[in-house]
Amino acid sequence: MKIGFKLFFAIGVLTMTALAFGGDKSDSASQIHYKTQRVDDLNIFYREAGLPSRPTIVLLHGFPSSSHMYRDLIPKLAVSYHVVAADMPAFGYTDQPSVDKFEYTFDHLASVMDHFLDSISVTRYSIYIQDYGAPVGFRLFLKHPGRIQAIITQNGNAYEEGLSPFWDESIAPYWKEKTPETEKKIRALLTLATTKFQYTQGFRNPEHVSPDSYTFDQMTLDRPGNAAIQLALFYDYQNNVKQYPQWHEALRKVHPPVLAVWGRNDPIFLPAGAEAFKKDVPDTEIHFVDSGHFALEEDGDPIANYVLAFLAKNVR
Amino acid sequence: MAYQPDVPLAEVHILDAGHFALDEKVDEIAALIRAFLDDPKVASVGAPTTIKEY
Repeated sequence: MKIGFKLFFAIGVLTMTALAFGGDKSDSASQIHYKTQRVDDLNIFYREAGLPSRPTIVLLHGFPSSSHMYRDLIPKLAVSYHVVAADMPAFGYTDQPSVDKFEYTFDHLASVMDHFLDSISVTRYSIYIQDYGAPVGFRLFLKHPGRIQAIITQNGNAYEEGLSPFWDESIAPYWKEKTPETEKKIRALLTLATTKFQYTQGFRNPEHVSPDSYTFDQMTLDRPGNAAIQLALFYDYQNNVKQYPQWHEALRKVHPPVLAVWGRNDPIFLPAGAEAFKKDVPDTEIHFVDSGHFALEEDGDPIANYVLAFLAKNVR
Repeated sequence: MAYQPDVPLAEVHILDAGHFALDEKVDEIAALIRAFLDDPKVASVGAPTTIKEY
């Protein structure tokens, strides 16, 4: 009788927490909720799954994607964790204020994400960072080192060793001088050919890649006004490289658990970028998968398993 | 429901979802399909027999 009451009480509490974030009684743990939150005068779109009473994982997306890149990872993690994946301004389904109304810098993107997490009362969490997710995630880590329980980097770069020759060829000239020629190199990165390249280069088998990935990303890039925004962000990316030493210092001081799981054939961020985390967090757990930049498209299962095993060891 | 008079074996489940019910209830629908196909009664009937009799 006593046990029966306790069980009944526990189910009641679980149901109430599920309802608290918009779930209903028939939801399975992996049911994804598609939501919008008003933050800093912007509508921020996000995907949420799992019981909010479990430890939270915040998934931070890369260029030119959105929380869409996490669509298959979310239910796998949500079986054991509370999962939140938001679209940054001008990506996915989040508002796209024009360049004259919103300052497109990584500082600003991180500030919006920080306010977003506050607004949904997520104040302790692990981060999963890929590509642009890394500079945003590391700014959250600098601001709130005590909030970040663990860092999972999947082709989310934080070291100069990780920058492939692509950066010197295509991006750095624009940092040195904004000219029609250097801008042309950036604009070439906003085309379907490049988006598809990001999703296929270094992949084992192109048939593993859903065209939903690059097709949807490209639709968001092709919106009027988006190119000017992406130019501004590519220009500001130099400030990420300048900040690397601060991120390294914070890693050394705080020593969070770090998992680096990396598509080894990424043409943008080299495997050396994964290995380099060991310089500041010597017990970084490192795994490579035989895939590319958006490795989740091809190796979603092994990556999810690495993440679940790492979090089970390091986060409660 | 209307299937039942013509197909007495028809198993009917009504889900709390709309037209594209798979978007909301994929786990539940998959479980129902697996259980339905695994049922020995269903496995022994099969469409070809039904068509011949018809």
